[in-house]
Amino acid sequence: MRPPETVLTVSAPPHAHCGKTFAGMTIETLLALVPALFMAVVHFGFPALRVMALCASAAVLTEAACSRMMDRKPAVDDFNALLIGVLFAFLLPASTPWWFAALGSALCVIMGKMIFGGIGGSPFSPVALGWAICMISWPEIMDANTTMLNTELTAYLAHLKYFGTESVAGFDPLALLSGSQLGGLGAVQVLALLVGGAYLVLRKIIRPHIPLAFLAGVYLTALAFHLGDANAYAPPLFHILAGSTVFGAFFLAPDHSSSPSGHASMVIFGLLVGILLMIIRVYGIYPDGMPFAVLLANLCTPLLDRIGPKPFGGR
Amino acid sequence: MTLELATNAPHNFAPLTKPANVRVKLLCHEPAVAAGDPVQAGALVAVSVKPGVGHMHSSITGTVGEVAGDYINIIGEGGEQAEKPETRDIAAVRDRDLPATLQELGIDTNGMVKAELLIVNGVPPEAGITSYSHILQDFQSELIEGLNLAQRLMNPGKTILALAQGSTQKLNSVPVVHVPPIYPNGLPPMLIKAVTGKENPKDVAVLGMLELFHLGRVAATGLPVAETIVTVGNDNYRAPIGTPVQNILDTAGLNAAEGDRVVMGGPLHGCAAESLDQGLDKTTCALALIPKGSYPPVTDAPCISCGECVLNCPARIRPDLISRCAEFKFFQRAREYSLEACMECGLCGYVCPTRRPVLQYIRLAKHELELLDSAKKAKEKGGEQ
Repeated sequence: MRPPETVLTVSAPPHAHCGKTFAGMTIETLLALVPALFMAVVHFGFPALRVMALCASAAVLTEAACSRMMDRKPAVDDFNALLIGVLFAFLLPASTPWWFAALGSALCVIMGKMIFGGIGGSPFSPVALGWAICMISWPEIMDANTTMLNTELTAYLAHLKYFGTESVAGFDPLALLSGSQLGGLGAVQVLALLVGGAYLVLRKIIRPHIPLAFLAGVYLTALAFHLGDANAYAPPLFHILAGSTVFGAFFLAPDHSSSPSGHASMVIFGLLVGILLMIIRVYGIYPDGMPFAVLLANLCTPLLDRIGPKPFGGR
Repeated sequence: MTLELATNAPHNFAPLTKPANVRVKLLCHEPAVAAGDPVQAGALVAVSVKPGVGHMHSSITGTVGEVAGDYINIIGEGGEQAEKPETRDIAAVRDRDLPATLQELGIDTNGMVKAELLIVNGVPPEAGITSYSHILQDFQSELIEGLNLAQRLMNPGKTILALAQGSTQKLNSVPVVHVPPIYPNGLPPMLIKAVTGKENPKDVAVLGMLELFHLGRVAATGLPVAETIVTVGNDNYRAPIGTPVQNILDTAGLNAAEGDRVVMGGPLHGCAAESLDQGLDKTTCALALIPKGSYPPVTDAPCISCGECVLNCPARIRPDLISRCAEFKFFQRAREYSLEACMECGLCGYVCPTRRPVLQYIRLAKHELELLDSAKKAKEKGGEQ
């Protein structure tokens, strides 16, 4: 049988695609982080840029090295390692030493992604996992309140934890929104992150379920505490604007492989992270334990994934 | 992801240059002619071995060229000397002989069983396909005859015509139900749900517009099914069955280059043609040319659990988990994620950001499970003896 003159491509349907690729989604997520990146440099200057650059390059190099060692071809969506590096940098204080930034970033990639076989395999948010390892092993370096001494900015959540509600009673929401607080260099740029988050939701890169449920969970739990005893617990708006709540809502909790997929599951997951975050802030020893809340909810993802509608036809 | 189905979209009927040859596809058919035999239009060329699948006939007058395992090529030269096929009087055939007679005339009678509700599907199967609304516009008399024949066969208590919302067409006095014009509402399971409100109810049958058209032509002429109506771009062509896709593409002014896809049907759940010589089937209602590089290529990337396929699946199954099971050969486990409910609409692969061939994985799992089940049944049967 002679071969046909024009060789056509024969493949299984579907033969069309909506156009959204994983690399495209990662690049758009990085774009959404640009406002916060800019504000971080405005507030913390060159050190912030230094930390971000170190983390990003360490993450990319670590992934390349791991892929080599695992005998796998380097993933085409390499922007994912870049994203992990930048997100991890956002949680670090601007005063982080160079070796710590690189080491922490490498830990995120190795323990949070590569050890599980690369993208799609990790049951945990890689950034949250790396942060948790660093926080528990080097609490002094990770604490912006103790390391960033050459700044006028206040670490509001630390003040709330150690000095009580009176010390943060006169908090200015606009100041918190504009990033005039101490914490992770990028995670405190609340307004810039809200803008980035809104961009992601409008572009349908992430679904609104998890971020909105997370913020609702934080708000409602904080409200419950505040209404119970206004003197002992800060108002809900404070908890939304202080620390890395908004950062976690839009950039950490909706991580693909560690969060569930269905409508109801995503809402329950978001609420769970929010409630856990408030419980950690009120009863835990950490002033702001957002990545811990994310990790704890990640443990529940397989169970939450079982929640869903019955298939077509009933059974 | 909403893919809008054309309602009153602009479309024309365009003339097709007569094909020089037709290539008749053999699915479960035994050839009844040999190379060199002269045939008249409507002559039997292959007999179906499966009940319910119609026989294959030549749609043009000519000489049989090549008889291969999966097709018969008929060249449109000569053949006048062959015996003309007899015209059957469908009205005179007894009701219980109808299925067999229709099978002999090339109609697939599989779906034409006794039903309480008969739904005539006038909803475009995919975005951009206008052949259904064209048939409804120009072939009312054929459709009415076809409907009468279908009602004789199936004895429905009620008949409904389903059309996309926004369509102003009708068929005689058949009650019309409008369904939302979004893919995949044109697929039978979704259509039945939109019309009856129930999922997979018993005693409901769906007949496509093309099937009704064929029934009508058979009833009117007494000759076998000979042509189909295909949409290419904004035009519809009335083409003899077996017309090589090259012909239609040429008439439409489209050029298939190396590496392109020629899809028979719509881009989401149609079948890619193997070569430009491949002929149209009875059921082909559209042809799409998808140039190489139109979309990001399919890869063997791992699933990132983004959930897009889950949120877009009309059957509410878990395509991500099923595709992972199929990838790692855990076919039995795929059953836990309800893969039998899959209606193969293709939306999962359409939205997958890592370009996994999700529908192909699901089909692989279905196929493997079928093999496992039949092997199990055979073993049990053998054990009983």
